[in-house]
Amino acid sequence: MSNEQYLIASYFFVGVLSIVIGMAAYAFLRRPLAGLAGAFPNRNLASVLKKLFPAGLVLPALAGFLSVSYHSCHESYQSIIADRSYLIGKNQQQISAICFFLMLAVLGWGVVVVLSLVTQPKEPGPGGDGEPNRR
Amino acid sequence: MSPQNLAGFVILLALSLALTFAIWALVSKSLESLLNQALKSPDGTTFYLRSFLIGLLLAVFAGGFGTAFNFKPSDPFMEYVWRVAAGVQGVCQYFFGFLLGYLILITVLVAVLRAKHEQ
Repeated sequence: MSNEQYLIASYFFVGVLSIVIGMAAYAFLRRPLAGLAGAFPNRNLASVLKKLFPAGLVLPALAGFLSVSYHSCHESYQSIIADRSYLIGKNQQQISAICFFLMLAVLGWGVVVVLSLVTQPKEPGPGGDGEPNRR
Repeated sequence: MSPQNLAGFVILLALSLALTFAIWALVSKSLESLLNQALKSPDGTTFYLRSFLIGLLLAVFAGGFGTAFNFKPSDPFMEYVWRVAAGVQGVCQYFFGFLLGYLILITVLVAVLRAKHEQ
């Protein structure tokens, strides 16, 4: 396999890998988040959170992958594809950036869930007013 | 990638994963109790415990893959050792950043929810 073929194959492979890693994190956290959101009195907030959750994990992973530039110290395309170890190093950087961005996204979602828990109104207890007034 | 470079990378990942599971074994039980007490919701506890585990694993992979092993087979053994040490240092930095963020998050969660439950 020539270096150019390796560059094309590895670029698209790592791109797909970023989506797969994001989806894997989503699959691991989807059920507990859905359970939490199901307990929110505000159904619209729960629905928005559940729908945004996959995008909120896959997009940061993709952003991490896209944040790595091949042009950092090599100026021309020919000099980029001349060195196989440079290409492998860039792939490693891409995977590292995917994991880092996803780690920040997981922390960010933790903050979002905290804010959702804190801002939800108290559910009426037994003997309360029952269903909140919806207008 | 030569077998020596691959071996260095695998050793780095193994050391980092061992660190991860040491942290997990130390913290997970008490973190679960704390989350149960604060959230009073099994789904909430599961969400934050899983977030913690994912964050630790992502820190390992971010640090591990961020370390390049591009030595020649003729390079001395200590070059590999120093590169593994640099990799473990990178993983520890990611751990530090993640744990700091997570601790702040959990502290805010516990403080705010306790105040809310006491109202």
